[in-house]
Amino acid sequence: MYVSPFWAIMAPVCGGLLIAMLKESRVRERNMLAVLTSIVTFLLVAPGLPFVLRGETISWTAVNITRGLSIAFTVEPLGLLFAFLSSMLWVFAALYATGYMSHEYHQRRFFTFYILALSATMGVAFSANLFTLYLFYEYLALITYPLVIHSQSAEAYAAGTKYIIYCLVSGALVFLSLFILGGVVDSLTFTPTGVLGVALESHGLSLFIIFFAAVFGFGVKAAMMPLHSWLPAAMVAPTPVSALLHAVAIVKTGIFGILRVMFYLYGVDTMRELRVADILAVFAVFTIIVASVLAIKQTKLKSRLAYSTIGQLGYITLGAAMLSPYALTGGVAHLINHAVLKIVLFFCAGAIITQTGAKYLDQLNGIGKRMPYTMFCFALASSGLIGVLPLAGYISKLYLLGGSIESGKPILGFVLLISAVLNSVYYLPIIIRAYFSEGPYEAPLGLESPPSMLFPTAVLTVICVVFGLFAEQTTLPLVTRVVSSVFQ
Amino acid sequence: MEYLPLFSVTIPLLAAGIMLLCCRSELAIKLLALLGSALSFAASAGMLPALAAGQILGTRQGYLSFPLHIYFQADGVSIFFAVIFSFCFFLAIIYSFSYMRHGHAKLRYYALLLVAQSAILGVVMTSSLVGLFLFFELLAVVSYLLVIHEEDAVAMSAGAKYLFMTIVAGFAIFFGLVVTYFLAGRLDYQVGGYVAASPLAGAALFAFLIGCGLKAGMFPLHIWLADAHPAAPAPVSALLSGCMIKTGAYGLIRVMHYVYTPQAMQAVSYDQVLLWLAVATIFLGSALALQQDHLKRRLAYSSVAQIGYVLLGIALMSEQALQGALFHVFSHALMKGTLFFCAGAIVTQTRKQYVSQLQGIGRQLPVIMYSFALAAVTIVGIPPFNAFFSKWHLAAASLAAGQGSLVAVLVISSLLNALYYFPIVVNAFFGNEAEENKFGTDRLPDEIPRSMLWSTALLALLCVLFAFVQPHWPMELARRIAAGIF
Amino acid sequence: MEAGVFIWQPQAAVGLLLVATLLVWLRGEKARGSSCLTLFALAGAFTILATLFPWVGAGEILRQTYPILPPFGFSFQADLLSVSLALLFLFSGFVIALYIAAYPLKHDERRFKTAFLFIMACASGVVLAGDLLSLFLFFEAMSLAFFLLIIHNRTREAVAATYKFIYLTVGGSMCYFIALAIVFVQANSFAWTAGGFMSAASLSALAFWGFVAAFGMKAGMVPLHFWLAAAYGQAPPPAAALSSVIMMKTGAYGMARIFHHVFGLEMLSRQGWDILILILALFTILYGSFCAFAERDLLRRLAYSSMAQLGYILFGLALLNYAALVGGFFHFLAHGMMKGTMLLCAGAIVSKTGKRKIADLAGIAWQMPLTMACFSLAALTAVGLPPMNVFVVKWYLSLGALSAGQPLLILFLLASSLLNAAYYLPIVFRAYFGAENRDLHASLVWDRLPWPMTVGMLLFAAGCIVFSLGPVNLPLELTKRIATGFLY
Repeated sequence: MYVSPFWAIMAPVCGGLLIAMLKESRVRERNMLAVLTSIVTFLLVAPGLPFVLRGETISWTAVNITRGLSIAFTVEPLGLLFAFLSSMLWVFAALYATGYMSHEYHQRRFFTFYILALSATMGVAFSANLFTLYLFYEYLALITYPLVIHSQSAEAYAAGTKYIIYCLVSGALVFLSLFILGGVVDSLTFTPTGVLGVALESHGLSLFIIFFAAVFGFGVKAAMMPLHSWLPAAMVAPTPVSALLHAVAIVKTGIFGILRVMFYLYGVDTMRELRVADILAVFAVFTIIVASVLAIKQTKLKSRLAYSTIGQLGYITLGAAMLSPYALTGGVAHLINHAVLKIVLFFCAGAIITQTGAKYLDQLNGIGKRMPYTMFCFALASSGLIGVLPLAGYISKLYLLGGSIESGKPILGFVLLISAVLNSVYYLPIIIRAYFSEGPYEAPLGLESPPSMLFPTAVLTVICVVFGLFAEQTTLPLVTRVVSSVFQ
Repeated sequence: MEYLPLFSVTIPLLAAGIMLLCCRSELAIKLLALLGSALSFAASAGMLPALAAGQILGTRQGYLSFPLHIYFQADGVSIFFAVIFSFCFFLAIIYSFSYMRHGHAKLRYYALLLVAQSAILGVVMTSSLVGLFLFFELLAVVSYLLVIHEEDAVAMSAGAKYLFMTIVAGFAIFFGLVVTYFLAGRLDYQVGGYVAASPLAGAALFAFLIGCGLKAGMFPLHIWLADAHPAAPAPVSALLSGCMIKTGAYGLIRVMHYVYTPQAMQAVSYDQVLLWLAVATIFLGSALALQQDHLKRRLAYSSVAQIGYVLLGIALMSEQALQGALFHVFSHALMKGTLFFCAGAIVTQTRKQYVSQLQGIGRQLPVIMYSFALAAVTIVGIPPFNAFFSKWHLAAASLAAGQGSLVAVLVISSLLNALYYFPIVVNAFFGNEAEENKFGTDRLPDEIPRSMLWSTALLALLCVLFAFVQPHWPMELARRIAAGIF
Repeated sequence: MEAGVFIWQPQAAVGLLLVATLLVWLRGEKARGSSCLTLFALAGAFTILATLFPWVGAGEILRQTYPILPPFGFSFQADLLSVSLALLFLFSGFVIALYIAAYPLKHDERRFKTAFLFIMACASGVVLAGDLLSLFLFFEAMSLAFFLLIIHNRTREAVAATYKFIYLTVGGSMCYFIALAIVFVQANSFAWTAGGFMSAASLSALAFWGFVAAFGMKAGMVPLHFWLAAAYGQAPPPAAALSSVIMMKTGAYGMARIFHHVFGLEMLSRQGWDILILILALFTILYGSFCAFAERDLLRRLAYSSMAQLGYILFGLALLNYAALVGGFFHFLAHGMMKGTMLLCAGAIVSKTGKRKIADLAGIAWQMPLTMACFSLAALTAVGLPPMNVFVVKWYLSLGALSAGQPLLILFLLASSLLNAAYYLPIVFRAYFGAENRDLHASLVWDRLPWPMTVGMLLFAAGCIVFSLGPVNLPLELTKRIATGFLY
């Protein structure tokens, strides 16, 4: 019997607490512990994969507070997909962080919260109803605050304040929807076909309004424009944090929340009835285009990556908003693919910062000489985001485009393509600059960066290719299961 | 025997190849050129009995595949043209020995002459329009290179004009070719033709008219001629005027009588068009020749006029007219060859290029100027010289066709001929030298190189020779060919 | 070997080239060894593919599909067209590789040679790919790798040309992408099917033009041609040769597949797309010719001329009849040999004398007689003089125009040929003749090129004429069979 949700949440809690108890000076033990906790968590999640692929699900109520409010967990395709992805990436990110943080202060504080955040993410992933989701969602926001302000500079504090305010607003919106929706129906348990359809007749208007409250509530975390400005600000955090939390975990919890609300509370039919999806699509399109344009204007590497993230998250939202199986397949696949691709990019950016101190794009001239392998990974991952075959990004893009065709809105497909062109406009010059411009860099004497940083980057790059070439054997079955359960 | 058409074409080509690869001494070059040209002439002449017998010589072996094959076969028309052409080339090469004494790039010059001979024989020795086209194009490139031989600014610009116009002609022929192939699926020659009248056939004929007409120097496509012919070295001018423009006439004969049925031509009235263009060509050529002071330009325009006769004969589409046209090809080749040879001799001996400078030159260069006079008399059409016979037949055919006005054209044109040739002759022998044109004693007639002298004289003699030999066999051959067509 | 039986040759050929690419990269800057390796790999791939001839020559179509690269897998198809083209590409690649072996690249030889071989592998892959997506994989990899060659000199102009090229490539890819998505949704298949598999639906036009844009960009079709001149002007001439002889052809090849094996001729003519393609082809021919005429830089002139010549192929494809198809397909060979000769000659001239402006080339024939002899032959070929290859092309294209009932179209071909004459022949004549060159005759010197460069030029030059010399034109017979196979 597979009962790991609980343990998957508890394992990082334990690990985090153990790290907190270690002295600041015990670097090696702490590093090992961090990596080990991530690996254990991953191993606890992994057995769920064959389980959900067989089509089985389990639910488990931990605490029943009152009518309609309970803390419950479930193992079903979408949740497991998210949990699996996050825990897997956490392993690499933890490893990377050990290398990255080796010269930073407050490593104990950092790793404690870094691991605790994993617990919150697992909680989000496995939560079975909106209340539980909300709980872990707030928990995640609070835990990550110390990571954002890690450097304790004035800039970091400002960013942290901005971050926490946005998170609280986001939480408030979600809480509002929880409150109102809880009054409309008995239970807000996530069901693939939605639970709010029964209230369509009686509470149509409030359902319409609350849809946006909930979606924008989660949308703050998903950096949906115009609620995005915390994300670029939060790039002051150490790069592993940016990589994991801001490109992968936190923003993806936002997306995950949106998907939950849309497909598991409202359901496809209800959304069609309410005609909410088109409005959401407009926001997504706006996000995609504006973010891509803004990304071009950035002069800092990490800010450019941040804006790129905002745009890419728009793809997922758009995929959800098109309400077509193909599009949702693309969207969910992009959840995975973008995570893998973007984390590689952040890892590269981090490696560049630690090895050369270069943060601005114009400092990257000729850096390919100094860090050939890192930049090669960067080149591959960024072309993956543009949609170059056979890297992971093309599959999501193909399905998203297919969805736009299927739903009869090819204009949305064009938006994706324009965005892809803009992606190339802000990524390719970096590569050309790195390899073909004259810069102050010399070839490295030994390895270009510590193995603990180079190794995860390289492995993840390979995974990018594998997820593209072998998607049929890796990502797609799970995604298909999610989609087929939603579009029954 | 059946390989003679092939040999006549390939021998000069082979000689040119050997020359380019191996020959470095001038003597060897000359000898090889002479040999190649002579053998080719011999091969052509060797086919004359076959012409008399009405045979078609050649093999069924196809060469090249682009994607069409070419076959080397010769019928009467081919042999008739081939003999004239190869003989002119032979003489031109002999003439060149002395003309090019002080010239540059002799190796290139002789090699190109040989290739040109090969190409021009290829035009007539192949048995379909494909071969005609292939060798037309080869000939165009080679004659361009010959025209620009001097490489001065005048020659270069004249050459460029010639080349581009002749390329356009090539394209027109290409168009006609592809349309014909599309209509009939074949391009070989068959007496009487096999492509019937249709709108597309009309288009193709129009294209052929442009293409061949341009090569022949037909009005209004003659504009290259007056630049290119004078710019070239004199032997090349002789060949251009004497031979190469005749290939256009040859092409028209083939198209009109061997590929398209005469009805196809008449259906679109292109025979009438050709007729009036021919008339225009005759008048225009003569009128323009009259205005030229530059000797070679005058000769070039005269060629335009003369080719008008040939075209006229073709356009009338009757046996006698064609006989006249064919014979005029022969006679004009000889007389215009002579005239250009003379012009070349004058230039090399005295550096005089303008008609107005030629007063009294007959006393300086008697043999040359006698030849000139002979050719001039011929070209005016005074009996019993060659051109008289062609004009006679043309006039008779015009009357037979009910076009009596054409006789007037012929007469007026002859008059114009006389107007622009006789003054030269008269001035040369009887004119008083202007003071500044005084010929000193620095150049004596006997200094004229022998090969130049003899080739010119020989050619001039041939202009009249046939009038005194019975039977008049070039005329006889022309008659047979024309009879074969109709 | 029957259809459905495992075929290994295409995979082996492409694989061999890719492995060789890797080896060339690993060997480092040791120029000589890597050139040999390149040549051996190309020859090996040629031999491997040549063994397929007994089967494809008999008209068989051999396919092999692998379950990677979702959604429909990764497939190879060997039919007469693909194998013939691959062999042509490999032969041309061999000649160019030979040339590159001795070409003074000055710096970054390793990168250049690696990229070259990689492009060769991808180009072979493009023609051997069995479906739209597999083709796209190779096509995009090939296109993106080409920028490494354009940027080789690293001048400001080269970088600008690179950007132009890359953005257009990405734009083309995006067009391809949306087309792919439409086919994906509407037909649920990507594999080549005789007679096409797309049915008329609302968006099939978009799909068609998407593909046309992607391939047209590569083939330099108006209005997507403007990368060409810049790229040719900046790239080392062997790279331009690679582009003209091989890469641009893949665009035309793609068009042929799209017309015949995705949409089908019936649909094309019913929708009137063939007319539009024809108009574009005519524009391409004329515009390219005019631009070439106006251009003063040798390589840029050749670029525009390539564009015009590719227009011939499009013209042949657009007429949809047998003769035109023969002409179009034969032009793959004809143009390859002709333009290959010219570009290699131009490379020899540029590398030897540094002269690029056409005005500077007066008298060059007396310094580089062999080079100019080859160039002259190619120029006469380009004008379409018999018996050289291009005449064959013009002949069949004209017959095709007549079969289509459009005799006036021949005039476009002739106009283009005339322009060809107008922009090539003056180069030739000024190289040999002219008042200022008269004295040079005596000072004739031999080319003094390294022998591989000379051999490369001679091989291409021989290719211009040699096939017409025998009583049977073998490539033409092959082309006829390909066209027959396409149409019946």
